[in-house]
Amino acid sequence: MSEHHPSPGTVWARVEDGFHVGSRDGNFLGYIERRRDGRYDAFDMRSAVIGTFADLVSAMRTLSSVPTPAPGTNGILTIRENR
Amino acid sequence: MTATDDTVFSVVYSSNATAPFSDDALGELLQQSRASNAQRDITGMLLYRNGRFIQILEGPEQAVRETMGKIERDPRHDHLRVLIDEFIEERNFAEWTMGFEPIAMPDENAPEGFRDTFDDLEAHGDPSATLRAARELSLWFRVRAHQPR
Repeated sequence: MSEHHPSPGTVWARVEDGFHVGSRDGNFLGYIERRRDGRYDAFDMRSAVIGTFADLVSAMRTLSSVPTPAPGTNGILTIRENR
Repeated sequence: MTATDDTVFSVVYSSNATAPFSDDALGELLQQSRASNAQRDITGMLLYRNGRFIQILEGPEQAVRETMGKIERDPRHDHLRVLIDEFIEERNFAEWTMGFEPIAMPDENAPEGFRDTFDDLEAHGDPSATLRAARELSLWFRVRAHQPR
């Protein structure tokens, strides 16, 4: 895996094998799913595919570069801090 | 936040199953839970993974608290721990009286630099990690639930 320097404040988490979520400052960037063919689909906040990548790092890099949606943006992936 | 009639109260808890759950036992638990929740205007999701339950309940505060009391007395649960209780602006699981998606233990180590959602969910003394992990699980559930079978 090539080296990846995450943006400050970006957190990457693995929920289950092949399902990865990125967030920054309490907002989801989107998620990355490994396909059956071993490549990776990156999805934005609206669950739209933003690209298919040969490796996880490339998918992470692309998702990290997508601007964080404004709080309250509608979509199935909205994360909210309620406390 | 002050509770009002239309305020949504949400609880995330984890517990141990006192005995391993077969698919049939899990189906029965879900059936009971969905019937009861529909009557009480409660929505949410349930995960069962490696002998542990993770459940999210949301709805009117009193109904959610009463349901939690019932679960605490349910002999199928042990070592119940409330991970998050909070008022939320709107339901995250409005479509599900009790959604369920199967999830397996990982076969692989998390990629380097990645956090493990289930470790974070029960992180002692780090409420922000717990909250973020609960949101990650909610996201995962909603993605899985909307995927074609």
